[in-house]
Amino acid sequence: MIDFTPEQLQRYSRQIILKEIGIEGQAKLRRSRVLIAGAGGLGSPAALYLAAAGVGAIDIVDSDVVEVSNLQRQIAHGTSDIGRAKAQSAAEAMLAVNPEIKVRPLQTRLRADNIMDLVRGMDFVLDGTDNFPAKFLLNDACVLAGTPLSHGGVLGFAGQAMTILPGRSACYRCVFRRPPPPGAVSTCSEAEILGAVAGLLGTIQAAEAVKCITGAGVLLTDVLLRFDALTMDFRRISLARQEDCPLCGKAPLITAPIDIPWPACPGAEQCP
Amino acid sequence: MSGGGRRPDAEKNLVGTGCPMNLVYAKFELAKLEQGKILRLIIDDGAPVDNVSRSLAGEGHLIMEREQLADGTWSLLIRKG
Ligand SMILES: [Zn+2]
Repeated sequence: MIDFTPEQLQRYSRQIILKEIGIEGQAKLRRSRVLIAGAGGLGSPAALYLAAAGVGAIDIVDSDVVEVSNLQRQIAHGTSDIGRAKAQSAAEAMLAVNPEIKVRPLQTRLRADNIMDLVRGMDFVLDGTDNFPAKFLLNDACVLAGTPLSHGGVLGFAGQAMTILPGRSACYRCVFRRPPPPGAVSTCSEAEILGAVAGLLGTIQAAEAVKCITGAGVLLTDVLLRFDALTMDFRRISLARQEDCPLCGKAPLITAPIDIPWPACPGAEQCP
Repeated sequence: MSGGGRRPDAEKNLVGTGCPMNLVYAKFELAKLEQGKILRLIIDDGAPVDNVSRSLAGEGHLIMEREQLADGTWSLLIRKG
């Protein structure tokens, strides 16, 4: 199983020489399967870094097409990709960096009836979605399937991330029981984001994926990492699994993924 | 030294291979061996022998023998940790 060509050893040399990764870690990365949910501001940098790192098989899911307003932060896409499916565009960018890996672009929305098939069998799932229903759906499916998950969210200059090892560390619902009521956050202000802030967070998530797959270091489990790029303050908030968590607690109420209704931004295209 | 008499299980000549690829190849050869097996490396004098020895020792392998050869290169006997 330890077979690498001289070119592969060159390509991954800078991480193979890391004590925590090495040849064995590189072999684990090559054998691994990762799902990236969303090819946007978080998913773009994560997809490029995970492709570059040699993750063997990456599924990237996004139902949208590239718009000019995406390009300020969604760095897997270029101006010539406007109008194309984001999943396809991101897949091509990943393969351009590393043609050795397998990428499966999936142009579909995450739903209760497809999410289990998407996360099952994955070694890691990276949440790069931009809405609460999708975040809860991913968390629920990953906990039910036992698949490690990196949660990430950004807004304005701020970001947060946590890594979930189902059954072993706090899940997203242990912390946030349910989505905020629709309208609690203005849909237009939900869209304000500095590109580099999304990049920071997506990159943190990619690092968590690599660490989880290779066993390097300590994951962001039972911790909510929050940062504010305006001051560059990074804070770690300690978390713990909750016995009364409706998903991973002692008497779970959620035993299958559920779609949460969510109003679309009225005229999202007109949002600044 | 302690390595005397023990035949290496694998050998790799890294003369002319610069940093960090010499370390990459050393780790690659070690990865193919079982724990306790012995790898012999031939490696350049100076930074290469120093860096690779230190890195491998730092990763839990045992440098059993360091011997400078007539041409100035080094022979390292490393037991996989
Ligand atoms: Zn929970």
